[in-house]
Amino acid sequence: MLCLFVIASGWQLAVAQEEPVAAPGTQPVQAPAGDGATDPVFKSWQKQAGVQECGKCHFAASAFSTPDAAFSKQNELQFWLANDKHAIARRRVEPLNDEDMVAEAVRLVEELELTSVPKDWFGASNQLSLRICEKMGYDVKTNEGYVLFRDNCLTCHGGYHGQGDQQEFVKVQDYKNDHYQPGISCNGCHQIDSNVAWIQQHGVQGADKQWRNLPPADKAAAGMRDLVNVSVQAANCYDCHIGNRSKDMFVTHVMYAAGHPPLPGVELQTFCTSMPQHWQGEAELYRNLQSFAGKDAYFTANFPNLFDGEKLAKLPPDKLHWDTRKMIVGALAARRQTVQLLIDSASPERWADYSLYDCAACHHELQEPSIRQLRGYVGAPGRPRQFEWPSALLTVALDVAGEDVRKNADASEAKLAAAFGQSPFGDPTVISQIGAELNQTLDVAIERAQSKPFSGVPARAILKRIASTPAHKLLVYDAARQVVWAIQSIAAELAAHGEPLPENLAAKITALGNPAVSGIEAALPAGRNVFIYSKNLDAELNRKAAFDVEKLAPLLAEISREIVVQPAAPDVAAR
Amino acid sequence: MISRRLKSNVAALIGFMIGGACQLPPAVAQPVSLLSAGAQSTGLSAATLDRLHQPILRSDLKLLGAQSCAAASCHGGPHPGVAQPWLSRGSEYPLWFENDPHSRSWKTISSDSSVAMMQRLKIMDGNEIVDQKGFDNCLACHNTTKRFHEPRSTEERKEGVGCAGCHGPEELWNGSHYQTGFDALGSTEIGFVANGDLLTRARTCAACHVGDQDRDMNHDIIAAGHPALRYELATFHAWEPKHWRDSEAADKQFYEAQLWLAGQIAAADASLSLLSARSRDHHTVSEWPELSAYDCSSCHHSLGLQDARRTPRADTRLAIAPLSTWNTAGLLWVLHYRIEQVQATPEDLRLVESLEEVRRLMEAGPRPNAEDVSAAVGEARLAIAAWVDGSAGRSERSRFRSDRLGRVAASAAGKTGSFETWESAVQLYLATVAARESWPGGPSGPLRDIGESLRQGLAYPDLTSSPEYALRQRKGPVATRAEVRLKTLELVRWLGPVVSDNQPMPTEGERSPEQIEQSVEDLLKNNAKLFDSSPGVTKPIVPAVPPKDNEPMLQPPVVPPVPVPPKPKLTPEEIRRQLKALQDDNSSDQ
Repeated sequence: MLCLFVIASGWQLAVAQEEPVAAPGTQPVQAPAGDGATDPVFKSWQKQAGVQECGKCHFAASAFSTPDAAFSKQNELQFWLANDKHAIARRRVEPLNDEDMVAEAVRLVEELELTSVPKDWFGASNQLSLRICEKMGYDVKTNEGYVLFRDNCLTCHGGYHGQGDQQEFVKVQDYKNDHYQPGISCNGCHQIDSNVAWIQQHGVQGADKQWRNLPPADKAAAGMRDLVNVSVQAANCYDCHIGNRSKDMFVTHVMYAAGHPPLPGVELQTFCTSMPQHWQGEAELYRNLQSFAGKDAYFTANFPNLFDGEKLAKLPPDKLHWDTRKMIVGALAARRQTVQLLIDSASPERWADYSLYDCAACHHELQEPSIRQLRGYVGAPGRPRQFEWPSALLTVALDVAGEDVRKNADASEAKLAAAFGQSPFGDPTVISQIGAELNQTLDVAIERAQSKPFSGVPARAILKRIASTPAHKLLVYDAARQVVWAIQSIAAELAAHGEPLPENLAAKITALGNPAVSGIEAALPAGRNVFIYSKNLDAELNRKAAFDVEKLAPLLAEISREIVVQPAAPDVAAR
Repeated sequence: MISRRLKSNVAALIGFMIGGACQLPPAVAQPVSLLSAGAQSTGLSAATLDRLHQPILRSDLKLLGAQSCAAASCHGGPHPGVAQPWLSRGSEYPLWFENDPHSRSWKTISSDSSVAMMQRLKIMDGNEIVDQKGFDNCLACHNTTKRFHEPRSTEERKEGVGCAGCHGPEELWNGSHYQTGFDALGSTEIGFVANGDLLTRARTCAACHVGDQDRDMNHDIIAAGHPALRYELATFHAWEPKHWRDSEAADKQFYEAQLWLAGQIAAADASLSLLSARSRDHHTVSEWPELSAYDCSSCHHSLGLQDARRTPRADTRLAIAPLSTWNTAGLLWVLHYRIEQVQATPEDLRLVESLEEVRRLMEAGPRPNAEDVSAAVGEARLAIAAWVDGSAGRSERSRFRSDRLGRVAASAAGKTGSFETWESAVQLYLATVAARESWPGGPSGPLRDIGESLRQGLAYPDLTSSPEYALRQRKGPVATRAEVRLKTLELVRWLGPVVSDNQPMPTEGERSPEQIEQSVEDLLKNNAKLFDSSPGVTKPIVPAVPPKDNEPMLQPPVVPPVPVPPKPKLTPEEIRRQLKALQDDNSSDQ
């Protein structure tokens, strides 16, 4: 069936603006919005051979006669191109001056017959990027300088995968050729390295059902990243959003000092929702597969530690709180990634890059007395601390995994904090050893948390626990925002499952994300047409500087008091 | 707290007159052989300026306490001694006790805020001292007691910074210093500090007001609440209530300039002595790398000039905190002025090179190599002593008057780097004020208003905490580099020739994010005028398939597909011409 869809690809239609060839059993495919034919983002991506291949099946949805077609929304690519900032991540940072922009605008107008300069295509961030490059010493007008930009910046902003990458990542001046990739490609997330075997295998007619039910390890062996697995998905996102030195994905303090905006703390569920998400959530998928007999087999195969026949019957996937689970696993994985970054930085030439430490450890207002001083210090005051935001949800997430795991993690965390307090920047050898020990524990915690199906009662219990987070853990804006995001994610999911919180309480939770009320802005500057630089960034930095946990703490306390966890809940998580 | 301290520093000299004459003491630089056996046993170096204030560094002499000096017939008399003006006043003790903040230092360290600091530092647990070494480190400057990490057993007298704190431990000279024939300048060996010599006085003060090998006010203590140390002797000296006859102050043009020079030499040496101790394990309370050696505003941006954080230093791309210039800027300005005037000796060049080497090593990475730094600091301290002892130092200490200081300040003001940091800019301001006796019309003449304006531009808001980022965004009281340079130049152009190094200010040619944003908006706005835009062409692209009810909330609303836009009416040539004109407009707006 999917093979037939290849023939009737919406992607092809969008490019060629031709009538679709209706395949047997399918409805005519809708062409995308008119701008799709002239939008430079669409026009650039359509030249990418790999993405063209994806577009054959995932560009525009059609109605299928078979219910298992609902496994995919089928318009993922189009939705992503139209809405997701990742699609133009590279465009946003192409280092351009006024002259470059004008030249490019002229050419675009001519070639694409545009009637205005495409707003998403140019921004102040292009000029910021040029200034950063200049300060970093990258002369991007030369090939050598652009290679430096590519190797250090486009690993995250352009999906460049280092030596051996099949894309050329040529200079922007040459982008009109067929190789220009304006952002993160499908394979940037969905594929492991350059192993393309899965591309054919997952779409071959007749093999699709078999493919779907293969063990995740087999799919990974064929090159498909198992993004169904939350921890795999988290690690993939966190490579850029936290850092991964083994992949040259790391924002150094030099980059920050040159002008790179600070990386915000990540809450996986919130970030996925805000992309906006181009895939179906698990509960939604299960509902869409209601009439498909193989749905239970699919869930059993793809969530091997979560379901067996008995659990599926007891807690069917459409009743589970997947977003809450993702938030919990995401919190554990975020801590794991930050610790791994420390471990990977524990060499003389890498250690103590200032960006390994919480920005607010140094860049905070100097006040006396201050809550920072009242909180006290592990070791001496004045020693740069680790990032604080990955620890905001950690205790609750570890409790989900089990008390034994939490105790082990707490012991390692205490040792790690002491090591950072022992001397300015800490001893890399000691920190690396303790970090490895902590990550072993976190691996266990992640595995256990992923194996727990969450229902409404434990979700409420988690909500109450998170709302009770002590204020001293929330002094840094990004840490406090973790809590707000988590609370709002859980509350939204409770409402989506028909178990809404009382109206008054729900309103208070909504208000948590209102900076005028709590000091926290929960909304992310997401979406293809939204620019981070400079207005959004200015506003964000002001909020960070002005943040006062004393404003947020009473609101959280009030919410915590009002949440009623049904007494039937013996544990934080259902078993 | 920080702002109060700053205000007390930079406000000190404006409108504050001091008088008196200064006679250069005969033994400006004491022979290195004078380093006592006791001092040598403590590990002090005879080849450094330690020889000047060595008695207060020694741990082999007993401290007797201020009360031992307070007899009515000695220094505790009720009236100023006017009968014998060539002798001491006789009332030093009550003058010190009643007027001098040093006598209240014990009270300071016993205050609630000091106790809170010591609790944060885990020196105290509740009301108990649990870290005696850490407490000794505090007392080293706040009381006349033994110093950090030394074996001497002394009775804790709770007297603040008493007589011995500055004049040296009394054990060997208490019974002889009043006798006829007591050679004050030659009694260093028996523990007497010859503070009659301004450089010795400056170095003694610097031991606490900068730090030294046996006392260390570090970043931990600052984080616990202690103000940062900002030593500039001419300012401090003007504020210090004198318990001695300040008769040298009569020659105003000589005195303040000499105080400034002595303070700069002493500050540089003391900061290096401290850095040397910090770079060697377990010699101080600090752990390497000690963060207070760096410029505060490099991390705590709100302590810097208004626009400092937007412009990393031009000479390094490491984004490493720069070494503090507070304690070395003035001395380097003197050295560079001498080089410009073709007056440099080998000692001048050696000192410049050695100070630059320390800076280079400290800024080589976030964790500089302690051994390398230790060696470089050792050489720099030797270079300072050699400069003081050589013809350069002897010459400057005999002829450095306010007119020469004014020319040094003018020379420094011609260098863009002098305005790189708040620290450097404030030091230059203080140098200019220390030269006020050579201002046209004097300190109260027409330059006074410019000086006051500059002082206000450099001062933090009158708050106890640093200004919030949000406030700074709205242009707080701390001026920009360009403003500070402009006002400094307005002042120093009357004091000496200003030769610009022709380096552009870091902010010049830099476009603010607002400007860039504006230019992009203008580009789009002007671009829109170029075309006969039909409504709807700028609408966001939306998915063709309407979202399902259960899809994410953030999915954009569905709008009907917009028609394919008409082709532009303008020819490509016209687009090019008009976009080029638009680009020119944008450029000319800058």
